Amino acid sequence: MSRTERKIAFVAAVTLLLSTLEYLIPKPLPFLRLGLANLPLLLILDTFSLKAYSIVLLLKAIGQGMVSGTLFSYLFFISLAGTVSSGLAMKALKTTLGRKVSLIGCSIAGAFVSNLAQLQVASLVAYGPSIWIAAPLMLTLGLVSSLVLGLLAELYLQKGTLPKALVEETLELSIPLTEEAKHYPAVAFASLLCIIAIITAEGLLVLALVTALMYFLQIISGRRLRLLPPLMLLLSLILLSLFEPNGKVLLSLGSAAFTEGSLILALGKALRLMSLLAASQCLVASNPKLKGKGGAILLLTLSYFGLLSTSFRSTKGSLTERVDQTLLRVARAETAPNIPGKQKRGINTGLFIAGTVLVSVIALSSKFFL
Amino acid sequence: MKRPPVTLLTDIVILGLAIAAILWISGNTLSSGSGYLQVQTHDGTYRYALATDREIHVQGPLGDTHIIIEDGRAHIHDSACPTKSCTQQRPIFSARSWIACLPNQILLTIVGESEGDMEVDDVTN
Repeated sequence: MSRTERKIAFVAAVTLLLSTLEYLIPKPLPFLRLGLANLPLLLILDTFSLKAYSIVLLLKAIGQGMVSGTLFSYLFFISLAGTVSSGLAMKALKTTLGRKVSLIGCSIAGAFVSNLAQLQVASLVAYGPSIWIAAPLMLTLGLVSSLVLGLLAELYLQKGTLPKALVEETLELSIPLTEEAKHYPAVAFASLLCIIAIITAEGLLVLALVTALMYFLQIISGRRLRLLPPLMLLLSLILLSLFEPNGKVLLSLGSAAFTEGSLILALGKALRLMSLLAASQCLVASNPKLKGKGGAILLLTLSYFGLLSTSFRSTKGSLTERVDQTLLRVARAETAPNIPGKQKRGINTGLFIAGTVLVSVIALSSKFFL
Repeated sequence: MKRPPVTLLTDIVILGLAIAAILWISGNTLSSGSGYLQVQTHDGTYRYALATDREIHVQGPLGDTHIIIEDGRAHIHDSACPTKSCTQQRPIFSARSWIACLPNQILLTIVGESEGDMEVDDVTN
């Protein structure tokens, strides 16, 4: 691993740390995001080449997909579109205008492009064109948060120690030693089968059964179940169904109405997306083998991220102090005292495959008998 | 780090462009709701988005009424009534216009369409 590659992996790992930190900051509304993970992307605009910058963008999107378990679902396409388009837009802006534009300007432009790209891909892969109803709110919130983030980036670039260290190459990033986690090829194969089964399943009852089973499989695979994301998905799809009325009016609220046909469509879509998300979690849990140069740099990113998060847990003080300490410690290879980490339990492959067979049988029977 | 004064100007231009784009997109998404077709029958109310082309069959006391939504407009294609006069009516797309098939107790209206988009002959209708 060359010095540049180590630098790329380290910065990408920092974006992963910041996106997990974003969950720790209390927010008045769940969809209100500051986009902290984009802070490093702003800070390296000037110093990273276009190629290195693009690799960081890809590593950030893929790494987030692996950490959150959404890598093999529609959510990954949405986040990839946002990250890559906004990153390239910011890089282009900074390259053409140089010192004539500040990080605040770049941040605003990046957030705008990111939100547009995410809305477009979201309407294509999951929500349908009615998601554009959310555009004014999303774009306005994005404008405000990107302004704050750009300001933070400017301040940090002038005051922080790490950006300078990264530029002046005084930082010797060491390669962390991490043991390789166990691979589960059978679970990966079974999860892929589940994805096919979910796509072919028809009917609300069948989809509900399949979703329940997929959550069961996710528990077997050892990935934590989270309730809020699927609930938000369900709620947003039901709200959006108001704008696509189709069929008998069940409940009328002024000029908007819940109709039977569109509610059935929304529920079916939500259940299908929820079970696809669970399948993605299982696939990530199976720990697919990463091959080649890209795989190696991704592994390095993930192990830097592992170090950063264990190191972060052992720091004290305010959030910014903790982040600064963590970064310096890991960058200087002063690894935190090894905290007795949670020993990961293995996946019960037999039980997982039995579950997969059940999912496939139920999904296929809906195709032939209903 | 000192920055050239033009930096502030560029930032303000970018901010201005972003705000203008948001206003434009908001204007577009809010007015593009092309309204919904509401179908009242003897057994309930049905509603469909005008934006999607589709064919609808509803049941009245005399039998089936076949409604078609095409290019954001709706008309009755066929109905189980003796005169078939409802099939002669012009397709509707804006508020306050309607098509009725009285024998089969079917009424088509447009809802959720802003009044500003009405055409002159809609009012005189």
